[in-house]
Amino acid sequence: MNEILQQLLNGIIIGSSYALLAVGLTLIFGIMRIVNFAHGEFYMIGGVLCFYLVQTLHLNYFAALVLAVVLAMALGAVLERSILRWLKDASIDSTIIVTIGLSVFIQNVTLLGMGPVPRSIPTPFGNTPIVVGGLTFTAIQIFVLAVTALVIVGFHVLLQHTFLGKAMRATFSEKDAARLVGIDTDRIAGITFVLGSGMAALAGALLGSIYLVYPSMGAIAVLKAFIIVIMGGMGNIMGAIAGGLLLGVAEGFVSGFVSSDYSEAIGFFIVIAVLLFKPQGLFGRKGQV
Amino acid sequence: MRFTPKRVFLAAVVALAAAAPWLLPNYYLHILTTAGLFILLTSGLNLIHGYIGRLSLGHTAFYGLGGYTAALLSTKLGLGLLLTIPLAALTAAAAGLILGHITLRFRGAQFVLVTLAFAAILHLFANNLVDLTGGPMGLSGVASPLLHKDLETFQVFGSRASFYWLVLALDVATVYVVWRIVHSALGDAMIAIREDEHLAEAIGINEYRYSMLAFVFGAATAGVAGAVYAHYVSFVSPEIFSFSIMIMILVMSILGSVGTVVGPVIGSILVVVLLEALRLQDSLREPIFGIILVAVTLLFPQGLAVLAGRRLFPRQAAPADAGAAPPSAPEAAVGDAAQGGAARPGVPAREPGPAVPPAAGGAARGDVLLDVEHLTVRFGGLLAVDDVSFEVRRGQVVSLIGPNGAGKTTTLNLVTAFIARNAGRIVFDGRECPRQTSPHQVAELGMIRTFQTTRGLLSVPIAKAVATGLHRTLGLGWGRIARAALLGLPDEGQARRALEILRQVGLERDPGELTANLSYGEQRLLEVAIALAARPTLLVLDEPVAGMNMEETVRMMRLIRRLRESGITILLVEHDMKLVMGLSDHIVVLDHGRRIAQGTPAEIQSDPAVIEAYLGRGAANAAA
Repeated sequence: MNEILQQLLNGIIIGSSYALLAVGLTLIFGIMRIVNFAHGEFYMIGGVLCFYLVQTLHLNYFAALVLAVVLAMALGAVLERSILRWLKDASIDSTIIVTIGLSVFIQNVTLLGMGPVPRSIPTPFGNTPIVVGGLTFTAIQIFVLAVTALVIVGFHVLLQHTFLGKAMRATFSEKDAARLVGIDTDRIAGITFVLGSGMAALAGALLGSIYLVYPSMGAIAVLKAFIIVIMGGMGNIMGAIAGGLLLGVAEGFVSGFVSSDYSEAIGFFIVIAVLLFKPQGLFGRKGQV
Repeated sequence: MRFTPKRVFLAAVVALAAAAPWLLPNYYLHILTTAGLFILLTSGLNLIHGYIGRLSLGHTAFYGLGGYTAALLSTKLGLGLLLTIPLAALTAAAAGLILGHITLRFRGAQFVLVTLAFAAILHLFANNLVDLTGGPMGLSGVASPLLHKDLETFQVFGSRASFYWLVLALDVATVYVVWRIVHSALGDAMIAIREDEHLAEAIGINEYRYSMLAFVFGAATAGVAGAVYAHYVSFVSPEIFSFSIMIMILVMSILGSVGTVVGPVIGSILVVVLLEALRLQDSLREPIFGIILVAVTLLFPQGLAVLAGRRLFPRQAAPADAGAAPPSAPEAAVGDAAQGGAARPGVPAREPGPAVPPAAGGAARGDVLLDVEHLTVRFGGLLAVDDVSFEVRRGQVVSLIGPNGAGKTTTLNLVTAFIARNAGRIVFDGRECPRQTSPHQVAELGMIRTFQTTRGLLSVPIAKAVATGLHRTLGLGWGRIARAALLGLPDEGQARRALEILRQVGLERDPGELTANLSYGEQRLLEVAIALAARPTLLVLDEPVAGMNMEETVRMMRLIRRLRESGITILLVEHDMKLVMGLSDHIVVLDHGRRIAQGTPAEIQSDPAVIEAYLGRGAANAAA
């Protein structure tokens, strides 16, 4: 019983970062109509930058975390301006090919720079396990869970209670109509991409602080993000959050009770099952924000 | 077979390629063999991506499956190439069938992700099922005898040249079949699916069947490539499934030109040769591939083969299908003579002359052709169509009218099986249409529809678009499909019939003009022409004059009248009252999903319920 709760807890901690990653991807797809296979590279960049800022520049961990996210967002802004804006009216398949190209480029340039060896981000949190009611966890895990929860809630407030959020939701559900009422949808698209990239980078820096960072970490992350997005229903933000937690928990259980070799595969099986039996996604209706 | 310059050129290229072992040292032969394996992969991928419009990133799954199948059969059972290659193809095709069944209903992100996931899962299994696959170390010692390792006399595949010839032969065979497919009605059907799957289904093209055909063919050729590769390097490891190989295939295919037969060949050779010539470090290769994917997609998405084709043959510049000219007349004549003019079983006899058939023999004007009873559909809590019944009699023009949101188009969607009904009964031409059926099956019965808003076959020349409409009349059972893919079908005057139909609807444009370049009104006419090509017994038109100007409307009205005179029954949804009242024999009025009136135009015009629905209660009182 304790073992089950323990895996559930581990799953939720990882899953909350997955949710962060998937929400960014959902926004970018919903608002920009870009299937962004480069999303995982922002996740990787967040982690890798955080590592170098702490390890090489000896920055304070928390400052490094913030700076890594800010730098990733700046890169997102540059990419959006220079390349993705060209894809405004492109077919979905073109957006996939271009972002895959970007992803391959970013990942391999990073590989040239840092080599394939996984690194660990030094954090101020000790490794001493905390035991509460038979459950074991570490301080960094709690920190990660708290930050992701905070960001997701903050983002929800932004979306529901600010003018910008309203404009984003309008662009999300009816782009042409949004433009007609005077919303600068290009600007909204730019903001969305920067925000989405920032969320991915944060997820990468946080999970990278628990595990390790390496150049190909984004490749598997983006697949997971897509699995979650399809699981939750394309373009459904609450679905992405729920799907992220679900995938985290499912992976936790598989690696806890079956074999960690196959924990990465469970998502693939879930997504195939979802597409077979409930292709619109597990949660809610289509196109909900 | 005639000796056109193109064919002589192709024969010369193949002959030169076959002579390469005497002309080139072994090192170059190895490079060409590698390129040849990639041609197998890219040609198959191209049929999937370029023709049915699905971007598959799981192609290495089939490559790897083929490789492991051959490696296992060879190392565990001692089988040789002649057996392992077909078995690898079968394994990959079976996997393609399963994966296709799951994924082909999707496009875009879902399709990409599941194909990608499939390759990733196989990669994982290849790494972890150590007992079977040897794990990360892979399987080595894959032998290359011809039949079986114990049959000494059959051990031929020792030299590089023998493998080179094997790959060359497989390439020629694959490219030939792809060329046959894309230059036949099968290719037309696939392009129609890529451009507009609803339109394809509406004219009787079985989307599932043709998508599956392309997908399984691609899977099988990739399986063959994997098997040959395993024997060639006598080794296979999980890396065969890796994403970097997929990226390389994608780069070749996109650089070469997606949606052309020659593009993948050019792309494969170019990339392999360039990689050798530049002697790039492996670590630099992938970033460059990334840049190529971005640059080609943004700057010249048509790819090198099409670009070069435009430069070399400026007149044949039609994109995607530069070589799609109809077979030359003498060849067609020979084909017909060989056929002996005998009627083939399963193929409806075709009379020459007018392309539009009279009403089907045996059935008289005035019989009930379409009988709709108690049709009902619910969307969530909304009854979009509520217990609607009506009849369409042979030779009539029946119109469905009603205010916006009355459920007219929904009714058409239900009748043509684009939406499944919740209740009710539909009998067409004496046959009951089941509740769960697909639109192409309804079209197969002779009910052909057009759409209110449609994309159309934008990248297809107009004559070819109309010829695509002929699909249903070609009697393409599995036998004829196999024949079309392997030998080609004799020309049955499709091009001529397409031109006739174009003339008949009054679309006087260059038959080679792309659909995308037509005006809106012309595109609607073309859509009717495509529907007519499918020989409708009942033609279902959804707002054919919506958005048209006066002149175009009059033209369409004349056309509909002529069609009725030629014996086609028409079911029409339209807002233009002048057109409806002028053409209809019978009118059915819907409001809020219910039938509120039916009758002749005169009856409808004076019906108070109709006036109320359109103009409100006050107007109805005034009229009464």
